[in-house]
Amino acid sequence: MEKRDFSVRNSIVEEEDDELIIEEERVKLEPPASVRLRSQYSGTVITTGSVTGNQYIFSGAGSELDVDSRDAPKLLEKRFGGNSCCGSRAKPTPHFIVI
Amino acid sequence: MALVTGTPPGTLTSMEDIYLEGAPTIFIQDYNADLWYNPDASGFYWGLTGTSTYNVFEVGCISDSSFTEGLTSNDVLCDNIGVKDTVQQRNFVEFSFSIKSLLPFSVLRYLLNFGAVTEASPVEYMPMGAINNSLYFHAWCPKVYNEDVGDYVAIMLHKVKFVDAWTIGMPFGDQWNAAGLKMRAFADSTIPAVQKFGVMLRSDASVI
Repeated sequence: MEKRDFSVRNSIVEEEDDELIIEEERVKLEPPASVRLRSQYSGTVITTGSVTGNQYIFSGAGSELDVDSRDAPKLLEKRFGGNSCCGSRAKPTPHFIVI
Repeated sequence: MALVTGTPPGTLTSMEDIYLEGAPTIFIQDYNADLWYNPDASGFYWGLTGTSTYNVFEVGCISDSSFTEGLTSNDVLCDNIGVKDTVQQRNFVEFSFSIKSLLPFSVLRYLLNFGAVTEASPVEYMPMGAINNSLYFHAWCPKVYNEDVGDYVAIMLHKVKFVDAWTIGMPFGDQWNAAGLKMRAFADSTIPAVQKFGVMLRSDASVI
């Protein structure tokens, strides 16, 4: 049985590997400074950011506002209304959604 | 010879032994929102679908509900014969009910015709001022009568407004309730005349 010579093939692979080495620059991903939220609450919402203390005023359902990303998690936890009736899976409605 | 039962000969349709029980669930949505089926393949306008701007609101804990209509009805009276006919015109259809869930104010305000709410945590304000007469809703009132297979009837009202005076009862040892709520459906001129007040649906795959 003929003996295979892998030396040539290995050298090619090594060459390809050399070419494939790309210098990666490590980039630290910063969270965005602000997050755009849309209100789903059918009325004016006046709220204060839990971290920054900034005041945000949403003028009604559908109104949008850029809020500091540090305040966003707490705002996104806000809910209104109760559980829906009769087997529906609807839960209390979030005040805000991210857009 | 046929058995004598009093049943007329010929084609006859009798009503089914299915009995609807209890109040439907009532959902309302701002009139400016598009209906879910606007129209459907059969040309009927019905269903709601909520959006951020136009939430669908579920009216909570309904009691004493009834569905009726307002008619103008005039007899054709001939002085030499008597009443030969009655001319009728439908003015509106109307849902009357009471509720026992009064919160949040952001929903209650529509049922009681109060002003736009403001929330400044932890307080929600509901101003009591003049009634906004240009506030209309779509109303969708489904009643599932077979939960195993999802058979239901539903009343779709295209253009409703909450009318008449309400009363909030505050009994000792019992829950508050808002009684005398009337959700009146007016003719919606944007919808084909045959369904201008609304449409009733029945979904039952075993029969229809």
